Order: sequence, then structure tokens, then C-alpha cells
Amino acid sequence: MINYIYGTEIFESRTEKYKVVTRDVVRNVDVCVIGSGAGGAILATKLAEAGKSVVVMERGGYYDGESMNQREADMMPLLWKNGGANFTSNLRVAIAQGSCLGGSTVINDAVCFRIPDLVIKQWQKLGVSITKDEWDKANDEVAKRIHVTEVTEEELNENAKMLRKACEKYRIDDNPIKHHKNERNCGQSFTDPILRSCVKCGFCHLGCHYNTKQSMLVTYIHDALNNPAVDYTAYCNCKAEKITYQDGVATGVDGIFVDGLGNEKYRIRVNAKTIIVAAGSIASSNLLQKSRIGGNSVGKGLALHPAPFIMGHFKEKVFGNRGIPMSYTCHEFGVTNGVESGGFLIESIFIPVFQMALAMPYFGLEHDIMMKEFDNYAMAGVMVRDAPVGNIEMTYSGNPKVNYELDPTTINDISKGLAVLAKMWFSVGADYVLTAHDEVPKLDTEDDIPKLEEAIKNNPQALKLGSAHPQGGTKIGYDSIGIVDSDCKVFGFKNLYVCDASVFPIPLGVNPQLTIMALATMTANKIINKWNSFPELTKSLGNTCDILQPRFCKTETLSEMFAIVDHRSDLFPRLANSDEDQIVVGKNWKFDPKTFTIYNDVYWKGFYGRDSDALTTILRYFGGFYKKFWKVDETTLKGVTHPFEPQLVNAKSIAKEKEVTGYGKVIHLEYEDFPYSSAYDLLKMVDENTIIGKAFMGSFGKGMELFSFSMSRVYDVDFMTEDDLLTLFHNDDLSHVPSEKEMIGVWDGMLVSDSAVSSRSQVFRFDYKGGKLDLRYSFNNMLTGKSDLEVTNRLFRFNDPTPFHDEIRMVTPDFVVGRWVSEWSSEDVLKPYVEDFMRILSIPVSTTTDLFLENISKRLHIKGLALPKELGVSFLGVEKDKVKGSRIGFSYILKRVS
Amino acid sequence: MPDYVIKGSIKDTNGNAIKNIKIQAMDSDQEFFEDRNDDILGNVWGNNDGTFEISFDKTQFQNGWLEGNPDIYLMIRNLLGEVIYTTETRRGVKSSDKKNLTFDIVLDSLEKKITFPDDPYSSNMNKLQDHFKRLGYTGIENTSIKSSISRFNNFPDNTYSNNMNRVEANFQTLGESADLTPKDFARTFSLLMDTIDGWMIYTRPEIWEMIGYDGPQVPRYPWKEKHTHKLGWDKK
Repeated sequence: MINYIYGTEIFESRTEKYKVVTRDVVRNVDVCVIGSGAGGAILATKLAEAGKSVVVMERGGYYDGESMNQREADMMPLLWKNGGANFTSNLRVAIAQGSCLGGSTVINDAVCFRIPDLVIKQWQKLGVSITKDEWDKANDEVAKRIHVTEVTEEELNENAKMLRKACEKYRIDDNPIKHHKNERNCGQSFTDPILRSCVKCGFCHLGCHYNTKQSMLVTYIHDALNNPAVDYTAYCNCKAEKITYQDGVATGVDGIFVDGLGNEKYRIRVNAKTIIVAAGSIASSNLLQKSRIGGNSVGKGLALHPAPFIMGHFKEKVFGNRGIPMSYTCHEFGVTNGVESGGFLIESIFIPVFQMALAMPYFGLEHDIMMKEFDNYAMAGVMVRDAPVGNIEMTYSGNPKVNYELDPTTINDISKGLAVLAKMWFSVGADYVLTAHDEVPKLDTEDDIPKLEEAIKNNPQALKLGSAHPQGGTKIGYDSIGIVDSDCKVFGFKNLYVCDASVFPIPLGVNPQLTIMALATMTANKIINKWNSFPELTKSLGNTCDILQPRFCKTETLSEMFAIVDHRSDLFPRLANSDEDQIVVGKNWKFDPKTFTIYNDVYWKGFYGRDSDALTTILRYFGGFYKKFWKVDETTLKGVTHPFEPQLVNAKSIAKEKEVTGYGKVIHLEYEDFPYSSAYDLLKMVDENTIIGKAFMGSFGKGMELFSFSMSRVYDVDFMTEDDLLTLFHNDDLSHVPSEKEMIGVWDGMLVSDSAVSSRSQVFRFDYKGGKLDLRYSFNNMLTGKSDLEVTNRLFRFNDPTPFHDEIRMVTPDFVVGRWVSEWSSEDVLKPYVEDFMRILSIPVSTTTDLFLENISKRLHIKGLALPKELGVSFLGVEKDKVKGSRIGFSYILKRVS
Repeated sequence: MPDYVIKGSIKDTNGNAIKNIKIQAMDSDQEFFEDRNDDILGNVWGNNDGTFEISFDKTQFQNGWLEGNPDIYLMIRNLLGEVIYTTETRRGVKSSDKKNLTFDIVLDSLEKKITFPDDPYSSNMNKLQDHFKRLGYTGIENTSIKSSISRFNNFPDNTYSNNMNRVEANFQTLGESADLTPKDFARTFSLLMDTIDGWMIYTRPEIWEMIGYDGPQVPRYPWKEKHTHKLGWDKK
């Protein structure tokens, strides 16, 4: 089997076999792994090697060693999450994470620490049932595969040697302190046989050009891709959007392929027997939140290992940038020396010049003067084992937002750590020290250190902090407090796992890559051992483009399908719709609450391509259309094409089957009256409820193609019309007035036009406050407020300061239909709204809706308009009732978030 | 009897017949418009032995007095309907011109061809070039249009070409994930200025040299330029 990496970016050449994605993808596999870093890569490869078919979904792109050119301006936007602009919500901590195939292992400093024995014990008390022997065995397996060895004496650069010298001089009660060289994962390059270990270029943060750093990209991922015995595919530029599930069984993952700017290009649906989330603490928590998995505990308990840098300036040149950036550590004050709570490690580090410019205090000329001494600095960081007090919440658009404030104990540790390190630099001859605190940026002598400690305690907000180790968010724990169990399986699920640093119950205290890898190794073995207990694969197309659901296709793909698919001539008589012009539930209209699909045979609902260009987007929301057909005889049907919104077009047509050069047998839709007669459609029936069509301008057979489209009588609720919504809303068999209790929770609201459902436009949060139901709303994240509720057995209504109010009805416990409407009245009462609306459109003001129509007719020079059910704006509709009168308003649906 | 008969074969690079391929014969009408407006002369599924035959009459391409003989090209589609190969256009083909009515095609892949950049107008410069050539401007290679053409068609620009746009897109995401209060203004401003200052100044090679930074040890486009894996300071 040839295994490929797929992505959206076009490259001249790549080391591994690489293909560009050109259309939506649906895969049915044994295992879907989300994320390709320290956790995901190992799980994917081990499961593939155990004979399972595996798909990896990686948000970042695939960049090989040859494209890693050691330039920050080129590489950070490609390899780093958010191009490096990845901060906590208060902008206090910059979080470095990889976002590329191989994840953070591509941009880290190759530091390998085994999980400390003390942490194993602490985690066991918190519900992690993994013994030291199990950790050791897994660590050994990983260490062998990624070539973990101790940094050699020859590999220590001057920067690291300065730290060693400083550690040797430092005494506590006249006793030496604990410090030693690091272990790191470096080895033979698979692209350059001459390179047997680290080249010592110092560019670990920007990816290893030489392929000697044994990241996931050049070890596990490379192995799987080049093993013909395994079935393994890596999809890059591929963002997992939602995990789908039913009754405790995860069924698959919906995702999108994005371009370099994050815009959707194609969609992907992966159906898998087992799904593993390994996207890192922040992204894993975010995906669970977006998928409504794990409840409110997801995202809680985030730790960052905040790490301020501090530099000593020396008269002699240090050339800190030359050589391995992180090769030496002072363990005296950390968990590796038995410090049970908090504590810190002092680690040698050096960063390339742009990052150095950001870490350097001062601005302008002073900053430039300091930067000119680039070669004369020795640098180290204080990595603190912080309290897990942060959290990840989901923004309005579904992105993660990281909230983190320093805990008092963490501030103390930072203060102590920086003081120790400053003292160390002075002890080895630094003539001044640059700090990470804006108010005390420079220490001229050791005597200035208390000023720094004081400043940190008084204003910790002025610290410049970095983090490379976000942990927590979906922690392992007992059922009541954890999200996953010791096997990393999500509670309440049979086949859903989370395996990365997000499951750490409390922070590790050392650089975490080896621990994540060991955990992934054990988890892979556990999954293999219980493979036969997993549920069977459930196949779904998700929301991808397919001949069976062309409403999800782009115009180009519709056109391609039209060229290749055969028209089902046997179904031609079924082109005719129901005789009724209105919905008759049970006869020409059905709703399936299990699949959330609507069958509507009043007409064929038209769908444009899902392209995101401006014209198609406008058409999608404002230009929806339908076609309705009646049987004349066995070979002919009559029809009409009608837009939903402006009721201006009423194009009568005749439908006949014909043989057309290039397309074979098709349905020719000939428009009868001018001006529509200058256009025609060709339709192909795919099945009895699906049609693909092309619209042409010109004479039959010679016309210029305008666009491709599809039509259907069966569609998801996301494509429902206002009539569909009103049918659900007013039918007691289909919906009911919810009780207060049923509405408790958070709901996403989407406006319904006849063409399509909008993206999320409002959020409602129902909660009991002081024994009373409370409703808070947020529209487009701009307008927020509280509504007055009026709940009876017959009506669930809420009022806001406008003359409009909301009425809602529940269809299923997670799905509600709603209306934001005026009061019922005669049409004259609607006048003010109509006037306002027409003023906006510069249409002459009228007193009734009929006169309003007449004015539009005059303005557009079109006679005989029917009474509108729309006011010409996609989402704004008129509802009429024989007894109550009329009311205007917007329709929406609510989907439960939590 | 049809006026025209196109014959041919579709094989892979080893000479084996390719099955499940749809061949669409087209008449190129308007050079500057997209292919979809060209006349379809006919289409067939290829035979199991890789051969195909498409017949058509003059009426299928003669729209008006401008049309003489058809400008024929073939579009080959895979089972997904994707166009995987398009032949050259053979201009003004007569019905007796057996040579130009025969297409023997060799395909190296059944997958959609990828073009760069993803820009609907990207091949327009090629079309313009062809047009000028046919009008007799044979010196086109030496004109400024040539440089424009190469700018559009060099593959790819480079791996890093969209980076500034990427950074901009990232800052948009950051904006939504940040939760700022007025007291953070100074901090935010300072962070922004530091970033701009750092980016504008310290990503420039001439500045690296001034401050003694060794800089990258490989060329900007390593896959294009020969280079050693020896470090600068080791060489010294």
C-alpha cells in the first residue's frame, strides 16, 4: 500500500509522498486520530502497525526539512500555531505550540525528561492508574525509537556551559546544588547519510533542516508513510470541526481543509471505529467543547509552565545562538529534586534573533543598543510548575480562548527563580543582567535583585512570560471529576479517546514531550487489546459533497458530476410534485427527528454551489429558488420556477426528456414566456429526490452555460424554508411549548431564510437565578442583554425592548424553533415597520402591504405581482392567519450547546 | 454518415489500455472565455481496449457565419467527472483530415491536474501569448509580456509566499481570543510595537550582520540551491 500525505498547499517537491486535495473527502477507517504531535503521531503509527487503517487529521501543513530554511519570518507562520501570535486572553503569556505535521515536536528543543517518580505518585492519587513499571516500559520503547541519549560534552555550547559554571558556584548552606546535562532526541538523518547526530545549528525552534532532531515527522510519521504493509493517510491543512456521536458511540469526525489563511477549501468526513483526539491541551479541549462532549468541566484546570527568560551580559562573547539551545538544567528547585508542590527548573536556552528582540526589554534606541550585544548574552529560563488555575473557553466563533492569571504561589516561584538565576549570572561575571519584568528591566549589580523580587510581587502583570507546555483541560480522573479515565477513554463513550497533555491532572513540572509519547504508547496498546469490543463502523457522508447530497457541492463539482452521471429516465414521471400548493403534513411533508431531515414535495428546493465567493454567498441567502412540476402526459410536464424572496419571477416551463449532444439523455426545461424563454435548463435525475442541473442562456443546445445547481425534495434542517419552520412551529404533533426546565442550558441560534439557515447569529443562555428562570442573549457578540420571560402551558414567550418579541417551541430536547415577531394585527398596523423598511430601500412609502407591493411593481415595471409572503429580505417574512391577522418577523432555530 | 469521425486511444505510460474514462470532444469557440462555453461535439466512454470513436455533424458547431471548420480539442474525465487531461486545440480541422482527427493519448495519472496559482485568470497570459504568436508577433519572448507570463506561471512562487497574509489572518484570530480592558491598552500597544519593530528590523540579513548574529546556515530556498550542511562558524 502506498501511503500519502494530503494537503491544500501546492509544493514544487516534498520528501514524503504528497498529494494536493482537489475535492471533498469521505473516509471509512478503523481509527481517526486528530493531531499529529507527540501523542497523535505515536497512536496513529502504532495502531497502523497493528493492522488498523488509520487517518490522521492535522490542522497545520506539511513542511519537510528541505523547506525549513532557518528564517523566523519564513518558518514561524508555517510551523507555529497562529504564526506565534498565540496568547492568553490577557496577552500576558505567549504560548509556543507547533501547528504542522509532527506538531510541537517539530519546533521544540528536543528536551527529553522522563516523568518524575514523585509525579507518578501524585497522579496515582488523582486517579491515574498507571504504575512506575508501566511508565518505564513505555518510556524505554519511545526512547529507543526517537533516539533519546544524553547531550555529549562536545555538544554543550558556551551558553549551556555558562549555566553549568553558575550552578557549580551556587551553594545552599554550603552544599552544592543538583544540575546536569539533558537528554535529547537526536540521531541519524534519513535524508543525509553523513549526519549521524545533531548538527548544532541552534535552529530547533524553526524546525530541523537536517532531519537529525528525531521529531515525530522523521520518526513515527515517516515510518508509517514508508511502510507498505500499513494503511495510513495523513491529511494536513485539515481542521477537525466536530465529533459526531450517538448513544455513547463516537461515529466520526466532520472537518474542513483550509488554505494558508484558514479559509475553507474542501470538507472531510471520517467515519471511524475509534476516534482519538490528540490536538494538544487547547485544541483538544476546544474540539470537545465544540462537539458538546464532556460538559462544563472541559477546558478547566489548565496549567502553562510559565517561563520568564533572564539574560546575563558578559564582556567576552558567548555566541549563545551557536549550538543546542537547551542542553543543561538546574534541578535543585524543581520536582525532579523532590519539590512536591510548585517549584521550578532553570534551563539553558537561546532563541533566534526575532524572538530575542521580543524578549528583550526596552524600546527604540535603547532596545537597539541592547540588541547590538546579541553575541554577549547568556540566557536561561525559569520554568515554573504552576497551579492549574487557567481555563479554555469557546469564543463566539468557536475558537479557543485561554484565560490564565498567575496564582500567588506561582508568582512566588517566578520571583524566587529569577532571583536565583540573576545571582547565578552575576556569580560568573555578568556585568549586568536583563530581566523579564518591564519595571525593573536591568540589574546592574547583585544588590538590585531585591528590587526585581519586589517588583514581581507588586506587579506580576508586568512580567514577560512564555509557555511551551500547556497542560490540562480534559484531565484524567475519577468519573466525577475527570473527563477521561486512565486509559484516556472519555467517560460515557465506548470508543472516544483523548491522549495528549490535556489529560494531565496536574502539571508535570518537566518538559512534557516524552511523557506524552509514553502515555500515547500505553494508550495505543490498550486500544489494540480491547479492539474487539469497539462498535461497528457507522457510515455517513457528513456534510461533504456527494452525488447523493449535491446540495453540499461546489459549483465546479456539480458541473463535473453533471458531465458524468446518467439521467434516470425511469424516474422522469416522479419529477411531478404534490398537487397541493401548501404543506400538508403527512402527505407532502414529513420531518424525521432522528436524522433531522425534512421531506417536502410541495416543490423541488433549489441549491446553489457552496462556493464562498461573494456572488454565491449572496445567492445562498437571498436568491433561493424552487421549481414545481405538474404532469401533462407521459412525456411532458409543466412547471414553474420561482424565487422564494422577491416574488418577481414566475417562469413557466415545459419539461421533456431529450437527447443532448455531450450530455446524453436529459430533461430539457424550456421556458415559455419572455424574458425567461431566452434561457433553458438541463436536468438529470440522480434519484427520485435528487436532481443536478445546468442553466443556459441562448437557444437550446447552443446556449452559454450560466451555472450548475442541484434540487432536492429531502434536505437537512439547515436548509429548511420559513414554511418548513412554520409547519414545525404550529403543529402540536411536531413541537410543543417547552417547560422552563427543558430550556435550561446554552443554545446557538441561526436565522432561517428560505434559501438556507445562516451561520450562528445569536446565543441564548437559560438559567435559574434566585429561583426564577433567567434568559441572557447575545447577538453577533455585539448586542447583549436580558429578556423578560412569559412562560405558560400554551406559550413560551420572551420580550425585549423592541416592539417585537420571541416565541419558541421545542421539536426535540436539543432542537427548538423560534420566531421574533410583531404582535398579530391587521396589515395597517404593520405600516411603521414597512415604512422603515422601504425607507431603507428608497421605495415609496405605502399604507398597506398591498399598496407596498403595487409601488414595487411600479418601480420595477412588472405587473401582476402576487401577494407577498416575503418583504424582499431573505430573513424577514410575513405570517398570515385568517383569524389573527398578520405579523412580520424573523424565524430562527436553536441548537443546544450545553 | 456523420460529417466527422474522431478516433483514438488512451493508454498509460506502459502502453496498457485505460478503462472507465470519458472522452469529450469540444469545439473551441472563444479563446478568451472559459472552456465551458465551447460547443460539445460529442462524448463517449472509452472501450475496454482503450480505443474510442466520436462522430458528429457540422450542425453541432456551426452557430453562424463565423464558423468554418471546428477547432477541436478533447477533454478526458475520470469517474468523478474531473477533467484529468485536455489535449491541444487543433485549429480548422477538415472532415477529411484523418491525421488531425486522430488522438492517441498517454496518461500518467487518473487524478485531476493541479495548477498553480489557484487563480481562474492564471492561464490568461498563456492564452494571450498564443494569440500574439498566431498574429505573427514571434518576438513575444523578448517583450515585457514574457516577464509577466513567467511571473504568473513559475511554479510555485515559493513555500513562504503567503506568509504576511498568514500573519494577518492569525492576528484576526488573536483579536477574537483576546479579552482586553482599557487598562491593557499600554500593554497591548507595547506588544504590538515590539512585534512590528522586531519583524521589520530583526528579520533583515543586513541587521543580522550588524549585530553579529550568524544567521541561517542554509539558503533561502534550500531545495533549489546546492548547499552544504557545514555550519558557518565551523568553517571559520
